[in-house]
Amino acid sequence: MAKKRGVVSASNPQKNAAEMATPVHAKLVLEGALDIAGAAELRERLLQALDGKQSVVVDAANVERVDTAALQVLTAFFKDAVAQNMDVRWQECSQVFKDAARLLGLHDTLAIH
Amino acid sequence: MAIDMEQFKVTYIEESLEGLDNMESHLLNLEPGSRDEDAINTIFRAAHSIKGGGATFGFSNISEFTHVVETLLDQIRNGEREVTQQAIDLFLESVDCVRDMLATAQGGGQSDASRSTELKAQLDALLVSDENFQPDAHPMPGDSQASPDEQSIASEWNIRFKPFPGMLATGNDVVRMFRELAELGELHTKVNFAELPALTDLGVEDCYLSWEATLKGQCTLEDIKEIFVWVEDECELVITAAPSLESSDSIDSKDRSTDDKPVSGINGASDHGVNVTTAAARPSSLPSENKSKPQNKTTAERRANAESSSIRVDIDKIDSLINMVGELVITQSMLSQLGEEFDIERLEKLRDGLGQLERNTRELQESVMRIRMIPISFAFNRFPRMIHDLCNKFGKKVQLKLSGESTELDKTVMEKIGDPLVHLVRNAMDHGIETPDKRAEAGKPETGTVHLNAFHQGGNIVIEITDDGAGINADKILKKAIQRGLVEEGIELSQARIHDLLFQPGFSTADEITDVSGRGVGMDVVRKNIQALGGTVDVQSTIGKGSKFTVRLPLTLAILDGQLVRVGDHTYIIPLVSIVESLQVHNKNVNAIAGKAELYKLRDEYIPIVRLYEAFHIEPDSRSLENGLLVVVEGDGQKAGLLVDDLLAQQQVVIKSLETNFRRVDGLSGATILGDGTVALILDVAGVIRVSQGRISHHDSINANGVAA
Repeated sequence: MAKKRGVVSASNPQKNAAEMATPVHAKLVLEGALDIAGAAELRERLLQALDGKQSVVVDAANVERVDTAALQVLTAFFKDAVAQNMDVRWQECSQVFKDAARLLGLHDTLAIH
Repeated sequence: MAIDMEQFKVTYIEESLEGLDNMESHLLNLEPGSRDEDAINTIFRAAHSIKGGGATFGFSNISEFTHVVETLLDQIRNGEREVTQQAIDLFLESVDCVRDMLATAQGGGQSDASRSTELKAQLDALLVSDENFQPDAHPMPGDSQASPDEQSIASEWNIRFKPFPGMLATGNDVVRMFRELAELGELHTKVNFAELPALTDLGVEDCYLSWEATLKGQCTLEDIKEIFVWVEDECELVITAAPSLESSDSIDSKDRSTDDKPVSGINGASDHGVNVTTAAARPSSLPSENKSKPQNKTTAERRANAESSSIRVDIDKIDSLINMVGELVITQSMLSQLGEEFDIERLEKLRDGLGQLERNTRELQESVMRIRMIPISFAFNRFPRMIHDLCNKFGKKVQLKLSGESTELDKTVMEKIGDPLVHLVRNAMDHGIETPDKRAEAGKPETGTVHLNAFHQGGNIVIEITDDGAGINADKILKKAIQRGLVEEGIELSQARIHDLLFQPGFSTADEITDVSGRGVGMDVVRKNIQALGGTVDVQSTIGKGSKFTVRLPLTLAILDGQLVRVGDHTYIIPLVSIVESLQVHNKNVNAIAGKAELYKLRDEYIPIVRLYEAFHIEPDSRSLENGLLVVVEGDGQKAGLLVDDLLAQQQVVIKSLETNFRRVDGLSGATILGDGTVALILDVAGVIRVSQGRISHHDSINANGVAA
């Protein structure tokens, strides 16, 4: 399978800060296959985002596949973020991603509509 | 995305058959009342995978049947049930039954459902019988596969699903399972993530979530369970019909059922529970696919070809093969380099190189042949079961001893030797071993022994079947033979000759005919089959002590040790195993019989002379017997002298089938390609004798046989 796995890029917060106006926020791009194989990596990325204490915009427009493990990691992230009063928003979600979240009953917690 | 499921089915069936063999051998070792956890677990796992695969590939009869077996096994595994002889016997029968089902699945066609139904009823009865053994009314939550409501259709189901933490790591994905559920009807999911830790403490492969779902739609409990079949022992799963429609057989979800009612719209998103509605996309397309049984047209032919077409090869063998090819490539490049700048002084080097090439080729050939070699334990494995069954049947006590199970032989030979071996072992059980009281009378231990032994000897594999039973009564055989007119009265026969009579068609010494052996259609077939493989079978026996049958087989059918002979311009190959001796003809020993045949007096026997040039209508060097050589061969228990012009080398030849490349020819078993590129035909000794005997009268052939000489 030649598809890219997991989270591929999140742009550098400093660069974002230089280019964009306040409020400062980090952007997280999720794409390709989000699955158990990439879940550890995804968790690392999300932990970094939590440490940044900035608001986060998540782009899941190009997620082609998502499984329970990945959704679970994201759910934990959202819960923690809400607990820390961080602002997390979706820029866009692929249909696959939305459907999976809905199937597991996680779409409200993940604030996907 | 169209995936060819057929290829996986084949693998599934092969693996299941292996699993069944495994189950069987462990079941046979299981003593009633034992708590051998390893064995029970192995048996359980085998049943579990067969069930799971069966459901996946749409063999619902297999998965349903195995499910009951598995449930029983699970109770035994959990210590809720004792291992009884009754259970072991039932399991063994179930193994046979599933084996049949798999054979049917493989070959297509209809299986005998009555047997499985009956067996399943027995298993169910057992399942219910010692209910008192366990506190709960139901063995396992949701394990009511056999209960009548299995097939009942409810329009609303409550599903409580709590995966064990390790479930995701085994490759099972809840998203996928729920997607399949959603295809059955309208699915409402409510997740519980009370146990979900903070991201910092989260193990990414552990599952912390659990779900409660309601499924609205016309489907059966079975449809739902099919989805969860692979994770059954990796989760807590409770499926109940919604109480509004049907009385629930559930144990503990009644108190929750009111909460389970889907709430339309979005209710207040609490931290712990959210209701979701997912529309049914393609209702019930999946189960209908899964249920269609593979009932195909070409039953008969496919079953006939049931001999397995794939082979498992030890990785070591492949590695050594690759090494060998590497060597060959090196040698080849050395030779080609030598060829580029060749002068006569390097002749020695060229010779060395060619010698090396020869060595490499031979080694490579041997390695390739070894790939087809599998240990004889594959053929031996069926015997413990057979002995077990036959012991029950005859009321005899027999201990089976196996040795040399790791002796390897060609897969094709193995497949063909199975039935003859079964025959021989059955005979040993039926005629050989006596009943316990008779044995006690004879001062022997009550338990008899049947010993199967295999070993290599020269280029052959030798299989010995030894029993310590009554032995073969030579007088009785002789009497029977005289009665049947096989032997003339008053003739002295050696012990070996008498034993040889056992292999005559239609011969049986059993006083009464049983369905195991004694109809006299055994031993001659055994010998014929073994001879067809280029092997021999002998018997040695001592009255009161037991008998020993020795089967000798070539290691492989693809290569043969041959004697090259020349007749005129043609080269023929005579299999070395069938050659007794070669000699020069002395005219004084030749007797012609009334223009029909010529006999050669070889010591105390008369053997017919077969002039090969006549048999094959070719022009020889000389038609005179004295100028040629006589090769004495033996085939089908008959000797004959083949007249050839010259003996050439002995060499191993690779057998090419004449039937696939040309057509079947009487008297020839195949062909091979010689070193100079010409084709040489391999003689089928028995066939040649038969062909030539077409010209000899019946009476003469009996004399020629030497039986009465």
